[in-house]
Amino acid sequence: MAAAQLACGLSLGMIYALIALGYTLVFGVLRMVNFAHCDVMMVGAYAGYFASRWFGWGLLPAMAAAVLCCALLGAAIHRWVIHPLERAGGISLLTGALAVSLILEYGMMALCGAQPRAFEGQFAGGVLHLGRLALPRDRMLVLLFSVAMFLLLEWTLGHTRAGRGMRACGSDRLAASLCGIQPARAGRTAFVLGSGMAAVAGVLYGGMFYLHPLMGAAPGLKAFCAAVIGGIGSIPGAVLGGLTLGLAETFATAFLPTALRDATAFLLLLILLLLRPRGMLGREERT
Amino acid sequence: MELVAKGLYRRFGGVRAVDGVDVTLREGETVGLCGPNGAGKTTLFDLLTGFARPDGGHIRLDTGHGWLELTGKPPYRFARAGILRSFQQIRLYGDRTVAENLELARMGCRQRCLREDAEGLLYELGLADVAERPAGELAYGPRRRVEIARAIAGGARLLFLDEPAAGMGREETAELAGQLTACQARRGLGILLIEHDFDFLASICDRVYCMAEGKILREGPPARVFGDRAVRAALFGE
Amino acid sequence: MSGRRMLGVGLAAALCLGAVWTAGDRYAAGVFCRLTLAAAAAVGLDLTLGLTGQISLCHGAFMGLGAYAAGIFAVRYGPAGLCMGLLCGMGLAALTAGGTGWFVLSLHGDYLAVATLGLGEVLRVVFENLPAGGGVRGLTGIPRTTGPLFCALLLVGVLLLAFRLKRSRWGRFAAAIGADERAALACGIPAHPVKVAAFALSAAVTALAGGLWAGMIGFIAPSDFAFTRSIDLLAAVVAGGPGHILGPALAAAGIEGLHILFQPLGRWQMLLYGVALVLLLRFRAGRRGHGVGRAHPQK
Repeated sequence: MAAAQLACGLSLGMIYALIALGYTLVFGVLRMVNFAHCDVMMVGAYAGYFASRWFGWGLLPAMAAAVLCCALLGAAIHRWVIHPLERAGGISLLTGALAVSLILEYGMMALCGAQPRAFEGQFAGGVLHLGRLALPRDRMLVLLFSVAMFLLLEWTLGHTRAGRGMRACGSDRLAASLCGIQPARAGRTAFVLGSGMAAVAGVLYGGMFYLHPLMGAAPGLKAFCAAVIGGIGSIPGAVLGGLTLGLAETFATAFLPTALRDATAFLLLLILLLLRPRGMLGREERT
Repeated sequence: MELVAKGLYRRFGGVRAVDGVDVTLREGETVGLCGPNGAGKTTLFDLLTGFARPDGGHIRLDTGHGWLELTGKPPYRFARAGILRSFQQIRLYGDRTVAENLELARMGCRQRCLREDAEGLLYELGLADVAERPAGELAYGPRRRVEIARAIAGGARLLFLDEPAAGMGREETAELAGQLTACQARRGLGILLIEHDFDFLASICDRVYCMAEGKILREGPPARVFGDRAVRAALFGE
Repeated sequence: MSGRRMLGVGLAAALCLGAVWTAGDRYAAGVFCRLTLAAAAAVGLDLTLGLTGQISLCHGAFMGLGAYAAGIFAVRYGPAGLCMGLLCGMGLAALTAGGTGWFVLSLHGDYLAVATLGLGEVLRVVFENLPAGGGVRGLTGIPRTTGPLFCALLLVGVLLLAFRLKRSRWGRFAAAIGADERAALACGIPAHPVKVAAFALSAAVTALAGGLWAGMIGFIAPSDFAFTRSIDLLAAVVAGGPGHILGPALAAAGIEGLHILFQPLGRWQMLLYGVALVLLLRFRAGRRGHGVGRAHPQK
C-alpha cells in the first residue's frame, strides 16, 4: 500500500534527519565532521535498551535515560578529544573523531558482545488506525519525536542565549569571541545537543531494527550524506535531506536489489556534489 | 596587451555582488577601483583574476597576437597569461624566504629565471636586504610588498592589487606609490588597484572606476570621478 | 657523503639485512613483510595527504584493489601472473583515483573525506562481488611468491621515489598547494591537476603494496582492506607527520606491529588502539601547537 510505504519512507527519513541534525549542528559550529556521531547514537540505543531491560522503563523514561547518557558522553568527547585537538587542524580532528568511533564501537563490543539484540515489548509493533489507514505505530512515534526534536532545536537556536552563541560561532568564530561568546562553550553545547538528538534517533532506530555495536555505521554514513544533500550547516536542510533520502531509499527498495539500496545514498550524494555542491538549502560560502 | 571584460555578473545566494560590469585594462596604464564596502570590488577582482567564475559575461585578453578566452578558466591560467594579483589578506608562505616565495611564482608561471632580474625586482621594492628572511617574519608593510614582488616575478603584464596600501602610514604609502610607478615605468605593466585612500588613487591613477552595489557608477580621470556628485554620495554619504 | 645520504644508505642496508635475517623463519618473515608493506602503503597515502593535503579515507580499499588484482592473476597464472596482476592493480587504482579525484578533489576537507569514504565502501562491495574473488570469505590459494627481500626492496624503492618527488618541481608545487591553495593558484600553480595526479599516484603506490601483500600472505578477504585499514594508514600519516615520508613509514610499521602484538587481546585490541590514537593525537597537538594539516580552506 502506497500510504504505508510513504509512512515508512517518511519515518526512515526522519530518523536520518535526526542523525543528520547532529552532524549539521556540529559542522556548523565546529566546522568538523563528527565521525563518532553515529556511534554515540549506538550508545544511546544501548542505553535505552538496558534502561528498559533492567528497570522495566517505558519508552519515554528509557529515552530520557538515553538522552542523559549521550549528553554526558558528548560533553566528555568534546572535553577530552575535540577541544584539545581543535588547534591542531582539521585532519587531526577528523582522525580524533575516528579514534573515538573505534573506542565506542569496540568498547561496546567488548562489554556487551557482538550478538544483535532487540528491544522487547512496547517499542516495536502495533498499528495505529487513522480513519481508513493502518499505519505502523513505531513509525508514527518516530515521526512524532523527530518533529518535536526539530522544533526544539529551532527554538533553541533562535531564542536562547546558548543557541545564539552557537550560531555566532558558526558564522565567525573570532568575531563571536570578541563579542564575549566563548567558542569552547558553544562547541560543547553543540556537541551535547547533537549527542542528545543522536540518543533519540538511536532508541527509535534500535526499536525499528535491532541493536549491534556497529549498528551506527550504515545509518550514520547515510545520514551524513543526507546532511550534505540538504546543505551542511543548514538545519532545515538536514531535515529536507533526511526526508529525501528516506523516501528515495524506501522507493528504491521496491524496485532495486538490496545491495543497490544502500548505494542510493552515495549515488544521490555524488550526483548532488557534481551539480550543486552546497546542497539544496546550503548557502554558498565566500572564500 | 589588454584585458576586456564585458557584462560580468556574479551572485551569492540572493545578492548580486557584481551586476553587469564592463572593465578594461591596458598595459602601461594605472587604474583605480573604489567604492563603499560591500560594493563588490573584491568579487570583481576575483572574477578578473579567475578566482571566481562569472555567472554571466565574458573575459578576454588581447595578447597582441590574438585573443585569449579566459571566461571560466581557473586562476592559474590567468596567472600564466600574465594576470597576477595580490590579496586583501596577505597570502604568503610564511615559513619560506622572500626569495623562495618569488621563485615559486616564477616556477608556477613558467618564467625564465634571471638572477639579476630577481635581485633588481627586490631592490626596486625595497626588499633587497630581506631576501633571505622567512616571509612570515617581516613587518606588515614589507609583506605587502613581497606579495607585489611575487606577482611581478610571476611575469605579470597586468597587475591586480587588492588594497596594497591598507594599514600603511602616510610615508609608507607615498613610498609605495613611488615604487609602483617606477616598477610600472620600467616594465610597462598595467595596474588595477582597489584602494580606499583617495589621495593615493589620485596621485598614481590615470583612470578610476567607482563601484556601488555591484555596478560601475562612474569612470574617468580621478579628479572628475571624485568630484562627481553621485560618487560623493556613494562614498561619503553626502 | 652527506649525513642524509648516509642515513638513507644505512636504512636501506638495515632493511635488506632484516630481510635476509628473517628469511629462514616463516613467522618472522611474515611479520617483517607485514611491517614493510604497511610502511610502503602509508608512504603512498602520504603522497596525497602529506603533500597536497588531500584527505583520503579509502586508501585501504586501494590496497585491496592491488591485492585482489594481484591475487586473482596469480591464482590463475601462477607467479608470472602476479607481476601482471601488480601492474594491473596499480593501473586500476590510478584510474579509479584519478577518475573520481577529478570530480571530488575540488571539494574541500570534510566533503572530500566523506566522498572517499563512499568510494571505499563502493570498492568493498566490488571486492565482495568479484566473480573470481571468492566473495565475502575471500580469495585463497594465492601462490606465496613474495619474500622479505622483495618487500624490503619495495619499501626502499617507494621511499626513494617519494623523496625524489618531494624535491622535484612537481613536489614543490604539491607542497605549496597543501600549505595554501589560494596562494599557490596566485603563483600560477595548476592546483587541480596536481592534486588529481598526486591522488592517482598515491593510490597506485598503495595498490602495489597491496599486491605484494597478497603474494606474501596467500589469502585475502574484503575485510582486510575495509575502513579500519584506511584508518590505520591515516593514523600512521598523522602520527608520523604528514609530508615527512619517513615518519609515516615508521609509524605505519609501528601500528602494524602493535596490531600483531595485541592480537591475543581479541576484543579489547581495537578499544586500546582507539585510546592510544587519541592520546597520540593529543600529544602531537600539544607539542606542535599548530596545524597537522589543513582540512579547511584558509580564510
